[in-house]
Amino acid sequence: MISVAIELKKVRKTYGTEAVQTVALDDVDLTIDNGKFVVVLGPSGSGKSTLLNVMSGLDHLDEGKITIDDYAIDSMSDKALTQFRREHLGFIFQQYNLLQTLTVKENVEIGARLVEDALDSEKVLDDVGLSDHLNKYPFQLSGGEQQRVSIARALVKRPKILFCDEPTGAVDEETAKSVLEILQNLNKKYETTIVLITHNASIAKLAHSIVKMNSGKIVGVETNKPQEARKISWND
Amino acid sequence: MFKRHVVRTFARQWISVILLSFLLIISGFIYTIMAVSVRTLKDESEAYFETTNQEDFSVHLMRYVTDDDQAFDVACDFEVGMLLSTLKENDETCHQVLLDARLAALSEAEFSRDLEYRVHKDGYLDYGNTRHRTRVFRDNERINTSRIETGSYPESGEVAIGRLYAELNDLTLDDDIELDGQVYRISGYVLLPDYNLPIFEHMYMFDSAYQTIALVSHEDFDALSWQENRVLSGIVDETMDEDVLEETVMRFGFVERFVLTEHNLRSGAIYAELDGGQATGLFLSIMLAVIGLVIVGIMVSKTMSEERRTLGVFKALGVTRHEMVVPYLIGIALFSMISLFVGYVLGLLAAPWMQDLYLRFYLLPRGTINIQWVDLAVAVFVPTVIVVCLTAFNLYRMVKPPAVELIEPQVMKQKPRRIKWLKKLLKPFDLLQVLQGSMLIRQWGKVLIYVIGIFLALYMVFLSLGMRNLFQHTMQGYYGMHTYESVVYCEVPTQCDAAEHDKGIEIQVLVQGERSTLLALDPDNNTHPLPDLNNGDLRGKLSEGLIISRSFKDLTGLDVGDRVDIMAYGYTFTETIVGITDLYPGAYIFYDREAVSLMITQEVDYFNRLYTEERMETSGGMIVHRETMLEQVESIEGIYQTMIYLMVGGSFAMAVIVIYLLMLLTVESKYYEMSLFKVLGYTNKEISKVLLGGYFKLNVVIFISSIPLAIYSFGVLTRTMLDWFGFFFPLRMEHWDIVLAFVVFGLVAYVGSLHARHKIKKRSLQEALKIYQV
Ligand SMILES: Nc1ncnc2c1ncn2[C@@H]1O[C@H](COP(=O)(O)OP(=O)(O)O)[C@@H](O)[C@H]1O
Ligand SMILES: [Mg+2]
Repeated sequence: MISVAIELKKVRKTYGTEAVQTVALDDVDLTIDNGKFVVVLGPSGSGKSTLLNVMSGLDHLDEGKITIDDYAIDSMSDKALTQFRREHLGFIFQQYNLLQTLTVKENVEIGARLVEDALDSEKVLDDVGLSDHLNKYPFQLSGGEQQRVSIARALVKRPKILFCDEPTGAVDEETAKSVLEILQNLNKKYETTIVLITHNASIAKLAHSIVKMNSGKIVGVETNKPQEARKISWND
Repeated sequence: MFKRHVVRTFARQWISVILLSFLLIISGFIYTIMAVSVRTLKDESEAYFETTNQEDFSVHLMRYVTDDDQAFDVACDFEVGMLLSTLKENDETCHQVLLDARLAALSEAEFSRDLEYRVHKDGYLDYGNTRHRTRVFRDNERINTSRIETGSYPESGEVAIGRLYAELNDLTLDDDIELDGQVYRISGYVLLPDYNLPIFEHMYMFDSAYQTIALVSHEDFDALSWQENRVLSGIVDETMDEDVLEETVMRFGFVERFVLTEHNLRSGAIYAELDGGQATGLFLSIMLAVIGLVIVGIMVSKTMSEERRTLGVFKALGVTRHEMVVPYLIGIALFSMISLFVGYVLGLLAAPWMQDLYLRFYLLPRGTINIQWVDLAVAVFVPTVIVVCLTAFNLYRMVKPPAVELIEPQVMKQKPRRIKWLKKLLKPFDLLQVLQGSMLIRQWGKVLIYVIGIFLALYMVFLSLGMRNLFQHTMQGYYGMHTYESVVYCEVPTQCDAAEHDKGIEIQVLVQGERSTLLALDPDNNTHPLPDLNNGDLRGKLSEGLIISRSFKDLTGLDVGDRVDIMAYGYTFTETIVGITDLYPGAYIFYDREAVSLMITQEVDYFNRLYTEERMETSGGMIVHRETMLEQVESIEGIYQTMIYLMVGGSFAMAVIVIYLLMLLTVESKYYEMSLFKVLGYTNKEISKVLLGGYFKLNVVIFISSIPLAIYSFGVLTRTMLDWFGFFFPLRMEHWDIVLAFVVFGLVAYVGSLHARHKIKKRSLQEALKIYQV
């Protein structure tokens, strides 16, 4: 049985003053199923990041309803949202956002301390292929390796949903591939729901489903055939 | 385009900008008001001291015949121990012979260029129902000559008095006053270079509203029936070494005391006061300017580093470094210059007021405000140039890397060795504590500025609280504890009726080389209780040894059981300390009167003070009532307190602003990390603990270490004042002050960080993580 992980209903978000308004999300309806790998695809400025921010509770929405696992995200207090993020959500951003003064292992432990039943940091780092770099500092790693540290940091606390905003935006193709493969494997291994944002159509192919955005609107949702969903090819 | 951007950058931080501007205005103000008023006073006074030939030192002579006097090869035969006043009554010629012989002996010692007796008589000035103390002078020929400020030199039947006294008592030229029952017309206002504070017999009483110097013609002076007093005034060549001078003079047995002008409260305090005022002004303004400008620099650098990426893009587009940096520099230069200039103008406007404030205490000529370009340069341009240069250096360095690098995240390029050390050091600690420590170490430059800023601010808080206590401690404490109604300053014991009254001898001595006042009392006196630390009374112990005041104990570290050398009147004796008395602020020691009397006159009934339990109206000496003293103290306290509260309030406000701004900036600079932790799911409480906890601990450490430092520096200040002027200046810190400072500091720091967090909250979490800065 497939349960619903995230549900958005008529979500609206605008930026700016009343005079100059940008509608970043325009009556968005979306359902994301549990355990799925979903890619949000769209050109720059189409509202992808905004979508991710509001559905993960990082930002407030103007109108509409968002529920994650029966929690009404839109009406939760800041404190409750924080607690919710802590227990259920993981994040990966384009800039890795590692703490420079901590080692690889320590960076992951920053994530692990958030929950009581966290995975073993070293084991997760092994999963992402960094077992040889435990005591290195972020500046001693390549971009892809740093991104893998941030993946490990997000995964170590076993989030139900992992939000990734352009996780491969700052690395080269080969590295991007390996990062994405790791995400794929984790999605399988831990059944983590993954919502990944990208403007790169090639990446979209590895998802179970693709949400296409343009000008703050969802312009289409595609479901990949299972056999295609496991292959990535770079052709753009 | 950049211009508009710079303006917006400043506008966005308007609270900080206003506070900073205030800081800079005050800095320019303090510098200017002090520099201008002090220079005006100094120039005017120097010229005045030059023309009136101010003494370089004064020598107090014994009032009785000493062994050295007896050894003079003169026609008169002097009896050792005989009072000079008795000698004068018996044989006026021999009295004069003795005075001449003393002067000649000192002159022959060849330490001075010139010597002259300074003669005065102490009495009362009456008008209407008012009676105030006055010291009437016989004008000198060479040293300490008078200057008539307004009006004319007193002819027969005329008197010149202090301008300040006249003003404060609504007297004007041509008014009549009485001296010694004789009517005198006020012909002018007089200044004497050796009395720029009207201090007569009592150190703490120098309020010009209650006592005045006066000058009458030679004939009128000689006709006054009051007791005549004289000290020797001397001028030396500039090359003279002070210690050699003092030693040379003190070798003569008839010398009671030697005082250099710069150590003399009545004539030389102005030097230290002006220098002190100028130094304080300079110190405070530099400190404020430095803090203010450093904060400006940090703010701009912070803004620019947040915009690294944008700048990188601009650079890639071909915008030059100058085009990016110069608008910021112009912004800073304008901001700093305008603020400082406003302070400068306010300072100029207030300088005459400051001069008058000095002249409310000091009898000195009033000068016309002396404005010089150098003030404008120092107050406005120098700080501006410095901040612009420093910021320029910082900003140019920041935009120097190639565009691509600016666009890339700014990460640590190599592991600093200090982080490695710290990690080792913090091994046993929790990960979050390691993070706290390593972040502080990583930004050690900022942390250093923070520590220095907070430290200075805290010191200002302590200083202001310490000053607040000042006068309560000195004056009222002192006068509140005696039980006598009147004290007679009796220079000639035979002229004062001592029956039924407590006798005392007050002289200046050196105890183990430290200046102090010896008060010799009888063990059975009723007027000077000597409570010990347990409220017992030590009067009975006066005949057993020395009793010292608690302040003196604190200053010297001497304690019960110590044997000390006491030097006075050419005698040195050794005595054991038998008690510490809790009263009497200042360096006081107490000893048996008869013993001191024997030492001085070889008889047991000598005294120079009489203390009466009932108010006494007439006596052979100058009478001062306790009530009058308290009145004076309160009046001076009023003025001092206004000044002190101004300073207290001012430095307090400054300190608050500095703490607030530093806190705000520091917390804001943690914007990135705070957002990251928040996104990860850390609660606000945990975030504060991790990211601000380090600063909290730092604050506690700074606070705790600033306490002993403040106490120590207060001690040094107090000791210096005592050493130089014998003036007890009890800058003290009470437990209460520490609590108060802590509360204020904590509160301000808290509000500052709250404000910062509020600002952070308003920015979106995810935006923070886009900032290319780790
Ligand atoms: N903090 C913000 N303030 C104002 N406008 C914003 C803000 N964030 C995003 N926008 C605008 O909202 C629209 C969607 O932005 P975003 O969600 O970041 O797009 P994407 O991630 O698809 O590139 C854009 O037009 C962008 O300019
Ligand atoms: Mg985006």
